[in-house]
Amino acid sequence: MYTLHYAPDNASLIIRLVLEEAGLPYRTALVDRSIRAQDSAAYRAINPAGLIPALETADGPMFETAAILLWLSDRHNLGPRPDARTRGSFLKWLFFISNTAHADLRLLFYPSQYVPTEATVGLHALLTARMIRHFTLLDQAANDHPALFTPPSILTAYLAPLLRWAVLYPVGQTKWFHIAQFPHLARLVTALENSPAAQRSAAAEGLGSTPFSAPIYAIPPQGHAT
Amino acid sequence: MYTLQSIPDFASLIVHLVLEELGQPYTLNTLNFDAGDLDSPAHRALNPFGKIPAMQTPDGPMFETAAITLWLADRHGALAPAPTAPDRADFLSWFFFTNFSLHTGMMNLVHPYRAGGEDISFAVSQTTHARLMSELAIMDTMIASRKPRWLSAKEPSILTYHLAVLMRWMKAFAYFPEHAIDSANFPAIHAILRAMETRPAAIRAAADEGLTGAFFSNPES
Repeated sequence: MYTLHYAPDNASLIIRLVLEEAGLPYRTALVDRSIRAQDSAAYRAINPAGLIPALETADGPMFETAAILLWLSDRHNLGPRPDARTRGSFLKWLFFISNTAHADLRLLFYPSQYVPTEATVGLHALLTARMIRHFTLLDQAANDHPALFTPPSILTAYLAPLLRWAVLYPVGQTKWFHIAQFPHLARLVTALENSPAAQRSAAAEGLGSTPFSAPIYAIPPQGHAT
Repeated sequence: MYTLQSIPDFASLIVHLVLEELGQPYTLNTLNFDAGDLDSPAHRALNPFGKIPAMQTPDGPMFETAAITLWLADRHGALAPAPTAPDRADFLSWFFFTNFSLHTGMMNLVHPYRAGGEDISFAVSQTTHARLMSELAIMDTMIASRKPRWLSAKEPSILTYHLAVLMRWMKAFAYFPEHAIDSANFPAIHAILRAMETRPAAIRAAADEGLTGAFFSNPES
């Protein structure tokens, strides 16, 4: 039994989608962002970096979204195995989504954690240009490698929330993003959204019935998204 | 046989170190940044972003430094806990932390002007420096208290080499010298860097790329 430490509509959503889709038993533990519980000693004991999500496993606690995804994939056979010919392709796109696309999105959403206030306008312009390039390449990759991206897929479970957040955040500064410019990704996230597992995940976190194709801000039954 | 697209002291250095440590046959295809080799069609076919590194494998081309090193470790059964090992979960958490948080910070420390130009580059560098110091302290405490075999002075891993190269660049290439990060502030990390830079495999890769002195623990800027 896994324990997912989550906050609604945070990166923990990515892990929930995969756990639900794979039918793996888990319980959730809410991290109350309104009191910055992610900085508490109890949470730091599980994830020293203080980021959401964390997953408690029989082999100890894990953190970093992509690390958890890859570990679940190998443990429960949810993606190409280490000896598969498509393993290299799987890993390069997983790391690209994590270390390049997700890393840039985090800077875009939380610029003040990384740069002084006067730098945020310039940073926004720089990052949105980069993000369009990243999504364009991922759109092409999704078309070129249907076996890797067609749901249920670890990669698409990772991408769908990133595309969702690009529609919503940073609040009032989302004009740069139009999912219709990425037709293959749009098709994949719509397919994902129609699965019962995704609908259960969306309901648990108050994301509405079209969390990826037509996102609205979360109205979570418990906890706070920001 | 692997072919690594390389530029000396770019991120390809990490893959180069890992290939030497694994003892796998490979060819280094050294590109010339100033001649525009990164934009050549031949290189773009391997890495559509025109970045370094990229590596040709029997299973096709790969990019993303950490994807390449993890793939190599799993394929050759060395330098990382195996996918079924009980400490794989812990290892992966810190491996991604290094490549996600520390790597992003290092890039901002080396290129602080990219975010908003020269005028505010010092402030960007300062914020980044503070964040990195706190993240490195978290890692140093973890190593000292838990002594994981996958991040240890006693044996190399793909993580020891990623960390060693990041620490090299934070010291040698910080844009503002006053924000250069000296690994001596982090004793457990420092001990790992000192051990890694004396390994024959690391010395061979470093010599190939023109690195001198204490190239991880106290690199010249």
